[in-house]
Amino acid sequence: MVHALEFERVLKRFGGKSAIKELSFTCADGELLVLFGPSGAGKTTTILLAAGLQEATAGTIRIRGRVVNKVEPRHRDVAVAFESYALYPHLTVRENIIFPLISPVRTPRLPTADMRRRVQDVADVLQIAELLDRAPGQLSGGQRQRVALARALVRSPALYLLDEPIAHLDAKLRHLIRGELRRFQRERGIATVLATPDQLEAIALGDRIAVIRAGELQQIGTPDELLTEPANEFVAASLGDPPMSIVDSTLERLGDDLVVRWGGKPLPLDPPTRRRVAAGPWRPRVRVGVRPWEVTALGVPVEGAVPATVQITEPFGKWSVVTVRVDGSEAKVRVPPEIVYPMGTRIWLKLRPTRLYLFDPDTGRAI
Amino acid sequence: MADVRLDHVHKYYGRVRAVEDLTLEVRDQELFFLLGPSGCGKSSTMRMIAGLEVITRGDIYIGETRVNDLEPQQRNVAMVFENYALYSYLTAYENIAFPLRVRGMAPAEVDRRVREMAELLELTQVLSQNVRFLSGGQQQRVGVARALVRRPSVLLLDEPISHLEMELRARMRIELKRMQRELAVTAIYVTHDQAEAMAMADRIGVMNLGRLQQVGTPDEIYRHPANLFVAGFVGEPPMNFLAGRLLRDDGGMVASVGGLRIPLPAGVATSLGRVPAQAEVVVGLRPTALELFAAPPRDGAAAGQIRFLERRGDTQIATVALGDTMVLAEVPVALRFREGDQVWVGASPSDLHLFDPRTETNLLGAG
Repeated sequence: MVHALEFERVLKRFGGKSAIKELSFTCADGELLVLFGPSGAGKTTTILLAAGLQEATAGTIRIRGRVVNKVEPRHRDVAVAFESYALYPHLTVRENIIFPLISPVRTPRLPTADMRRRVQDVADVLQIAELLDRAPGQLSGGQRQRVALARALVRSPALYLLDEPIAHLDAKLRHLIRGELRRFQRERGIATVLATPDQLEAIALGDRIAVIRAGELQQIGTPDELLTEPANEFVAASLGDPPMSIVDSTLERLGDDLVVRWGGKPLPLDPPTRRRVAAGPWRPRVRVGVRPWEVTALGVPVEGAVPATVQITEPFGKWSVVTVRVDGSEAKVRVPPEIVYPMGTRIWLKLRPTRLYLFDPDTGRAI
Repeated sequence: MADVRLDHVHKYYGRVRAVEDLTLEVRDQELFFLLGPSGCGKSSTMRMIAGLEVITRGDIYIGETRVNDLEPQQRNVAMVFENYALYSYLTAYENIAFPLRVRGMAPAEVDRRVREMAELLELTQVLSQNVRFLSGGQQQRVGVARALVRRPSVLLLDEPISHLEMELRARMRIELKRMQRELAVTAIYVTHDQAEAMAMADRIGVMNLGRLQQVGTPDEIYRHPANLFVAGFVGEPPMNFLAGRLLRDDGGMVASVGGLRIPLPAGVATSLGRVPAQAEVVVGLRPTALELFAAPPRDGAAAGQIRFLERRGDTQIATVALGDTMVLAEVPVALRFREGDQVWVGASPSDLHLFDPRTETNLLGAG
């Protein structure tokens, strides 16, 4: 099968430092692949390598099956948009967007009517239609960013490469543009690699997400797969809002059951996790991950509830997040918005019968 | 320790009105947030308090002292910036000691103060280390220690954590709040991040276009926003606004929005008082106040189509086309909707906001 983009053991060094370490992944035809990771993870470097704006130190990069390591950017058939928006200040928004369609290397040229229609289409998608006759200098940062994105989307290349393309929009617009961008990409069916440090954006937009950290791929999969089967602690803690709490614990046999201890209380393992643990080597020390919405906070002790001390309650309007201390490690619990526990309050945590996530304390890998 | 009062403060840059007629009181030992989008005047306000900008008109008091004509160093305020501006070639100790040394304080007293501050902020173990080898969190604590070591009356924080990774930011939020509490210092914190303000603030002043929009606790701001701007700025995903009409119906009142009919609770109808029937209103509905049904559930629900679904943790955000407007609904993941599905949208009358379309103020009064 020919992929829109393929990285095969790609390495990039700057001086002595590796920005990308043996990175392998593919982006299928028509797929929207999100590169997700913190700043410095190597997302932008990956985009630059695919675009041909930087050269790989080692490894192979293919676009539609063709090795492009030595191919110049303008011959790679990719359209790129960056977080920082380099617009031509002396051209109107419309002229800026149409520019990639008329610049000399694009031959044959589209008929003028087609070009105008395409500009109108992307302007509608990105909600900048009413700005088309303005100069970039008259626009806000968020508007300029959308113009820069429009300049990439106006083309029909083999691949879109978008580096944090909507980072500067306000909350409301970001939602709408995300939806529009997603639909536009699906309708056009053009493979897209989009880099973002924002987990909500990654989950919202990606057919699949490649999680990278320090130049290394941590896991690649659908948002659902990453949320339900995180490969390691890093992936588990980076996706999900509020993030998963991961605490030190011990694994014990209690009669026929397998349990982990949290705050002195035994928590039985769910059957799938139990089977997995039973299949592997026995390890007494584990790290246990709990999703904050799987925990109920109670003001009184009940059977099996874990005692905890409130560190802080953070109201977010629709709910509050309580950070608690259990056995010296911190965990987060989500509670209804009207609940505010003062610092130091003793509360009890009751876990719903749920999936527990177990990690190896030495490697961080999921068990 | 002191309170801070702004009395009819204006700031003009030439003809640009950055701050207009701002009257505000920050209480002693309070963590007060100035929240608003870029260009709203929040940073100008902070810089006027710090003495870094001349006040065009009006008065600022710190405690009993009018500070308009005092130099920054005479005002006894300390500022913490995002990059902490630490001296990277000095140890943590020397960084904290710096403001005392430049004031010519006796070495024994400097040592006593630095160690006292290090103790409070859990920096004792790393005092002799060079700051560039400290973690982000430790660097921030050194920054705060350096700001507080000369015992300022007021601590000013200008977006100190807004560019950190999500995970680190969540930890820093808690740590900063704990420090502010333990040191019992009056703190004014500027941010554009509504979640940060909601999570940390004792009270929030929301600003837009140079004007103060509302002052209140996070709960008041979220539940009783004074106007459309505050309602749309605070809360994530943001509130939906729909053009509607008030109708009398079987003795009660109903808000009618397109096909959606929402009976008003008796209390709401009463507090609307003099608003005439048939009045045009802007109906504000938070995404959590909307329900989605696969089949028509009851009278008053409106037919729509799901355009886009974003998975969150145990919830998902649906962008729903309702006639020619788009609304956002946050519903449980357990509801297995798909993009393109026809749905019926219902609204919870208990979480309904009504705004005057001309003045944009909340018809039910502010918090």
